[in-house]
Amino acid sequence: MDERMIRIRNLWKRFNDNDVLAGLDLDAHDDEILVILGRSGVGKSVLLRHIIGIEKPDQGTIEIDDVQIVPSKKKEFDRAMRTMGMLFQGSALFDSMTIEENTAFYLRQHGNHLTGLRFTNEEIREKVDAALKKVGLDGVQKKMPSDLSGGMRKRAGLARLLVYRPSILLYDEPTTGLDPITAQQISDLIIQTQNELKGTSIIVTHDITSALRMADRLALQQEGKIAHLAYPKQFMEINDPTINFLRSSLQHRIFRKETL
Amino acid sequence: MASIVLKKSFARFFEMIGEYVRLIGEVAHAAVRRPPSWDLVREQLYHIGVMSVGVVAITGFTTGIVLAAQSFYQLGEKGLAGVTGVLVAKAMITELGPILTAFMVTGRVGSSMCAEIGSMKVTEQIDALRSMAIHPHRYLIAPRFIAGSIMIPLLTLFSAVMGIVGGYLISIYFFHMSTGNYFHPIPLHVSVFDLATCLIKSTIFGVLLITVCCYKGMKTTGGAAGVGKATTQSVVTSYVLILIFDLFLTMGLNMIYKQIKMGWMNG
Repeated sequence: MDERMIRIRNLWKRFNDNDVLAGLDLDAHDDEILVILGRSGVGKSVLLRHIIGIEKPDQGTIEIDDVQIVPSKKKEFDRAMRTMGMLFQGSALFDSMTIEENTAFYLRQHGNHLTGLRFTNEEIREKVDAALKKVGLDGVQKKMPSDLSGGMRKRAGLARLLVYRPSILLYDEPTTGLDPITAQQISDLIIQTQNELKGTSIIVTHDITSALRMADRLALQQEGKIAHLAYPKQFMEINDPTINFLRSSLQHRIFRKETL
Repeated sequence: MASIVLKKSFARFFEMIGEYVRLIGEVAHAAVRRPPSWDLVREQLYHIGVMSVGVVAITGFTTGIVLAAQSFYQLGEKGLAGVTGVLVAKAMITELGPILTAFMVTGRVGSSMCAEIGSMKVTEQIDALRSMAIHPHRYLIAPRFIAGSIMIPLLTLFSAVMGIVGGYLISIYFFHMSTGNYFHPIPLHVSVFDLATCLIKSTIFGVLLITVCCYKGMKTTGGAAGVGKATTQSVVTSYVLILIFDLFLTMGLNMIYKQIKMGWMNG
């Protein structure tokens, strides 16, 4: 089998006369964390939404393990979808369900996506408890999403993915809006999840500190395309206005007042 | 400039109709070919049906009372007070029952459906369903569609019965009409066709209000303000469509009935 896990070719998407994706090509490998950086509105989240099947491209193809899923027949697409999971920017927990019900949701709907077998209630409870424990949320099973903080909701969203062990994980701004300590905890959890599942993780973020912490490879999305793609060290040495800015913001901490 | 705006508005209007018809097709297909779980349907049967019984009962009952009172005041002087029972029964079964029940269910259930689905849309919960290979039409709309198609006709019949009871009580205790005078003409003048009209209208209104409110919910954009706007639009659109469909159904069903009757007489 070809080592490449996700292969995107010539992806186009237009919204209101604006080409958000303009012939984008990207390969994401097995057992890697690929972080996509880019300014707001360049279509990073749109790219993730195409991979997970929420958006349909105007043109282009997406293959997973050499099987074309976009465009494809519904059955093949649904089968591929069951191997994927996405952590949304606002966590997207179902607010009418408890954290336990949220975490168990996929298992109750699909059972084991590999064997097609249903789980018993006892098995589901064990898996849910284990997933919540892994993300440090033991004891919140009966709480509603509205009872949790932003960071806890992100972790609950991650537990919802961990419970069915998808081989492709997509993260939309996982650390945005969190304090630095919680952001670091989420980054560590993503790395830990990747080490455990050994699949492909694609992360879209603005947060360069978290990006450098997590990435096996970094990509910069600009004008609807992947402008640069490299290993972190090489990536930070590329001469590009956006990367130059990121580099300088890391090197020079700016203080409003030099002394108290 | 104006013609461009008009063209765009027309294009958007027909696009919306296309999307709506497609949604009905997909939901009907999902409801028949891959029915949602019984738990989801049962939850909606309770939410749409059982929880609406009170409001539908009050609406039907008070409408029946008002109809009977008006009939006495308007027709009594002309010596036509004896038609009160028939008038209330006919009006409640063929017209007011279906319309008022549909309006009440739209206000009580349709608006909350739109708001619930709309807020799920703007907080990415619908996308989360899709990302887990769960089609939102099957998971969210099909159970409401099935439950609405069953419960709204039943609620309409209940509303009509409550109207007839309300009319009876005021006729007997306030206008001193006899029970026989009120009930006796009803079976002679209320036909199977009237009951069929009631069931056909209420089923169509039910499908209409559920799908319009769910469609508006699924198309919600723009945060909390967007949810409010979509909810208002869903209620107004449902009311207008129910009235338009009522016009065509009343004309159409009566024409069909007349054709059938003439066919029998000629045959």
